[in-house]
Amino acid sequence: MSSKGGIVTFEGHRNFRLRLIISTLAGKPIKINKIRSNDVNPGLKDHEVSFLRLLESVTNGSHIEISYTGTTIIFRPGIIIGGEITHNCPNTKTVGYFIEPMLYLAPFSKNKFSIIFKGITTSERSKDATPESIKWGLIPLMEKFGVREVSLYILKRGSAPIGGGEVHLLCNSLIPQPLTIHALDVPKFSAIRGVSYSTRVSPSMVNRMIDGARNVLRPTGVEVNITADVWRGENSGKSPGFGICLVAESKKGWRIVAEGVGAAGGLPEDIGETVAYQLLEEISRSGIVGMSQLQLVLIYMTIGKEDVGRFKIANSQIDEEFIWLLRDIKELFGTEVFIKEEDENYSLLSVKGIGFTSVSKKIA
Amino acid sequence: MRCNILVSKTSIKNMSEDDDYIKALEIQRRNFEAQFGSIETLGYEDKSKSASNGIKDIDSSEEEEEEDNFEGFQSGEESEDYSSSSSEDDESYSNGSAQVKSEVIRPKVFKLNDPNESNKAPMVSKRERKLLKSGRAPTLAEIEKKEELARKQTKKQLLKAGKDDGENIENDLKLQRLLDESHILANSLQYSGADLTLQTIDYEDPTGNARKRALDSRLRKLAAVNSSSEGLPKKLENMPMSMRKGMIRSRDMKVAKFEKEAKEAGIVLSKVKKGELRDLKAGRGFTSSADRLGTGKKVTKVIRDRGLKIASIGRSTRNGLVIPQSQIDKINNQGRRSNSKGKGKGKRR
Repeated sequence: MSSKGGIVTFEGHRNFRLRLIISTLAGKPIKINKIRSNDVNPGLKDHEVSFLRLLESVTNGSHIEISYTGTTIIFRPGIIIGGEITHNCPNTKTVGYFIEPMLYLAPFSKNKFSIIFKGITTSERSKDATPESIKWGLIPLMEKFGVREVSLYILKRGSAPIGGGEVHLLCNSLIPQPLTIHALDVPKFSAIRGVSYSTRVSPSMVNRMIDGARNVLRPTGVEVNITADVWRGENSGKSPGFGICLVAESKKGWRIVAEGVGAAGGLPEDIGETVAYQLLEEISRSGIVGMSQLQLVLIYMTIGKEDVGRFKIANSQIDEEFIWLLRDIKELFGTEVFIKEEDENYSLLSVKGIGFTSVSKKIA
Repeated sequence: MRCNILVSKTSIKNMSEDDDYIKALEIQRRNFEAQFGSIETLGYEDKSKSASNGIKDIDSSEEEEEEDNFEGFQSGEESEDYSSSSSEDDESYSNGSAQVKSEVIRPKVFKLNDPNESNKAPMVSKRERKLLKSGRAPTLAEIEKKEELARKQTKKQLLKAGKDDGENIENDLKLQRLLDESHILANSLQYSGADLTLQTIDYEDPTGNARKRALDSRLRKLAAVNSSSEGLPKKLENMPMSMRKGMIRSRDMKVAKFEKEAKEAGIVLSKVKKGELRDLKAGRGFTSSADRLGTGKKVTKVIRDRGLKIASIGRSTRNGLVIPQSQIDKINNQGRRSNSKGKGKGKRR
């Protein structure tokens, strides 16, 4: 990672989407080389190329140059336009892989984002967020930063391997920059809610998942309220599947999400239990938000006004991924975060915003 | 071989934890061997075979002890006490010792927790369905606010509806009396020492003319229930005809003048019914002037005109023509003969 003549260079396919997004927000061109150069199949994978296409369609004036072997790309970002787009996602990744980066760009675009993603909505093999966890975990977090009118509609579900799902992302609020938040107290979680969904399987699977999760969560003494969502017929996609997404919610609106998708031949009780345990572990490990949401928090805090925002994180959340994220932010935005250890479990993270304003609103 | 040593519960637990681990390893090994063939055939040395023989004796003895300690715990394939997951493992626990020796593949039995579990679809309430369809996930605070608002609305509606408002009005005696006596009370001048304001006029307890008139009107209202002239007197006051005529004439002229002037001035007056005259002195005075001159109301006769009584076939009712059986028989020359032979009350000559 170096900068030569104004272009910041990165190496490898790590944090691919994140780097492209940050470059778009910062307006700085980047170059990524040595992408899987030692791999059996070198170069960009088809979902990464699809993501580049998506990025091209939501922005105006962006240049993407991909080398012959596909191991190097140069990306010159344009301004974020948005509008009404339909994107067909490849079968290798779920739609969550594509939706998540759009959440960073949507509030700062010229026109409102209204994107329909078609493809696989849930898959047991992928580690990306499902539309459920985005709706329950990431979108409420954006509301904390001032982006209030984001909504994600699941028009059709599509489980792996064939898919056939459609998800509609709508972002109706366009703001110049996110708010500066000061979140200093670790919340106590007052309720656990969730959604347990299934496509093209017997409806009793959903009940069994809920039972499995409830059995684990009963000793906590918190109110557990899991909604059942059985999809039938046309809208349920082309393959059978089931999954569950649990959210622990506090009175102030902070949420921690854990989710899981059932594998073929698996018991729904098992997946219910596993996800419940995952949720409890996530709560014990995290501060105010979970690991999956921390990236969004950091980026939004960085692109705020020139004001210091504070956020409390758990010490266990400072791991390798976190450090890579901070490195990428420093490369492109030039800011560092200040982490001060408060007690043995928690630290206070302060970031000074870079004074970002969404340029797309002003320019034609 | 069975050890008769008394082992405390905690040590059983500790040993059984290791046991669990070893048993799990055994299961993995068995699965591997089932898929790829035994380890020896693959060309590796089976180190565990020599060590495992020693452990297995302790295994079996512990198991038997456990079986004795726990009542109702049956070895074999029925294991109802276990939780739903890892039922596959449970089945092999109980058969641990036996199965390692023989390579018999037994069918997997999954016994899940709730025997009364229904296989029905989950009941999703309307509110939950809306939540699922919506694009956002509302916070707890928002949901609470919405619910409170919904509850508040129904309370308001309850107050408004007021369990049959009409009935309440009907039953409200004071209100009815006030409505009826409004003219009387308005036209009476009731002084108190203080200023004449709405508060000082006593609506419930009038004095003087107003009192007499009010009592009179109440009595008439009660009498109207059973009278043919709705509470109005059947005979007017006796006076010379010329006096009566003069009073009626002057009244009519006054009413006509009043209405004409109002029409010219554009004042909208209260409506009067068809046959009636406008009552200009509505509540004033000792008695109502209608007692002497009569109101314009006409009381219709209740007896209905039946028409001329001409002999005809049958009766004309509102359901149509009713012809009694006797007349039908007469016309048809049938029916019971009035003079039967011999018996009966014939004319005796």
